[in-house]
Amino acid sequence: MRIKLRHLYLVAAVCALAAGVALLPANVIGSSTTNLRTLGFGYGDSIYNYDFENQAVDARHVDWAMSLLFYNNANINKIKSILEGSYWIYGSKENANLNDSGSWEWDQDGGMKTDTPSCLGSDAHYRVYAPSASDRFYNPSFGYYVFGTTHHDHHELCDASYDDSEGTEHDIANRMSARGYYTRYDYAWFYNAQFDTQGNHRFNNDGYATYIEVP
Amino acid sequence: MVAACCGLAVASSAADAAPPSAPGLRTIWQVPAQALPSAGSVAHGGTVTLGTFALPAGSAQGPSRWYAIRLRVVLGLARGSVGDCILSAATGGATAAQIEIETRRRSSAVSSLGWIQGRRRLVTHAASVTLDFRNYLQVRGVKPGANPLRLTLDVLGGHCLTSLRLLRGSGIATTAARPDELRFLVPTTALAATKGHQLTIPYELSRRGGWPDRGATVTLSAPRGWQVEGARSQRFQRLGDGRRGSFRVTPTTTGASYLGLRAMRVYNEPSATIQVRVEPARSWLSTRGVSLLLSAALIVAAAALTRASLRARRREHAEAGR
Repeated sequence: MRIKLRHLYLVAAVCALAAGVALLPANVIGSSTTNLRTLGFGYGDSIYNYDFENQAVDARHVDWAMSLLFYNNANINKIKSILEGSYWIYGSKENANLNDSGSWEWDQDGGMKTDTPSCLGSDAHYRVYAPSASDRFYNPSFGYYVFGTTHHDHHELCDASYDDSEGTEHDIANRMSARGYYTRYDYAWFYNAQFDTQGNHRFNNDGYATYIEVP
Repeated sequence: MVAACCGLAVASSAADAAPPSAPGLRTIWQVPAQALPSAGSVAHGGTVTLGTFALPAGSAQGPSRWYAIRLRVVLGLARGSVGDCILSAATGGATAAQIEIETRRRSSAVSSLGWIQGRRRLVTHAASVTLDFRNYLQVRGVKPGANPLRLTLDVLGGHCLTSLRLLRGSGIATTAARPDELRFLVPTTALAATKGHQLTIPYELSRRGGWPDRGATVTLSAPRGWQVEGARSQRFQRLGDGRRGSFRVTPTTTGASYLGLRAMRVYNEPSATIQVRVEPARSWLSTRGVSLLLSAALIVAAAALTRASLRARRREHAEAGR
């Protein structure tokens, strides 16, 4: 009788563990990609073409594809200031791995969103990255420049899901273009085209990044 | 490759004049004296054209002659107010100087980034700061013919400057040194240290090798009062592809401090900044006291458990014996 009871406990524990793993949100398990690689921008500057959930380069724990490059006279604070009329709420932080002429380092940004998290609403969300000590790169090809990722958040306080990186990239391109900034939508191939669903994280990125010249 | 794909590259020039015979910046154009006061008009935001410099046919950024900007400016800081502004300068619309100014109630921070002086950040309580900023122009900021130089102050929020004064010597210079001829590789995250305990500051000076290898002297600047073991300068007769070195310092202050490394008067005169977070020294008892207490508690608990289990076992044996 004792042995049978032990077996029952064991089976119950295994079932509970399996149910727990199945109920974990996709973000905790991690979104993965087969496209992770570095991109060079001249003079030793390089980045990974995705941002990461943690400060570890791991293709099984990426967040979103890099899809924006602001150049010429860009700077993290300046980009956020330009877009703050529409993107005004702070988001949760993610991580980018960057090489500013010789050494790899991490930058962390929560980015900005168009609305507060809720059970029924959605919002567009971007994050911008540059070496954290200076908040921008510089080289003679791009001037002062920073990178960004984009996506949409849905129903964040209830059944959260995340998608549409192209939609937010397009929205930012439109807003910058409307200000008169020279904007080239889907201009450069960043080797991160991805269309799949992993838990509540739906990738739909065409692999082309938008370049925006900041005067 | 990226520059070409972006349409940002400019064809290099065969007709370029002979490069300067020695590394170092040689001024080719200065902001005219009568235009210097006009810079003050952007102290509260806006753009002003400081003048136009002309370059001969075939001029381009590199590979034998490189153009750089020099800005000598005195910024009157709006003390007591909160603001975030960016002072920038561009040739032909291509920005080559970007200085961020953040004013807070008690202090101001002025930070800049460039390929000659590296990252610089100055936190000050002073009413004004004088900057001598130098940086390589963008590739597309160098064109044959007329090149306008414009100064802009973007006010991102609040109030940053009370005045802005451009000094003589601001303008355009040339050098034969490539932008990245020499560069420092240093820790990019803050080093942890304890007050009164020696700390090693490692660095690597890497060289691309476009110029004759004349060696370099690496000089350390440390906060006032810090003890530096040995000389503050280290001389390398030859650099090859690069050299590694380190300095040993003993912090005498606590909190966040910055150390500077520079290789002056050679090539692109690189510099680097290293952040150090210094904790106060703690007594042996305060650092080990808690762990000692925990260890003692664990030992006592283990002894009590062993004793209790021995007693229980004896009792079982006694009961079994009956």
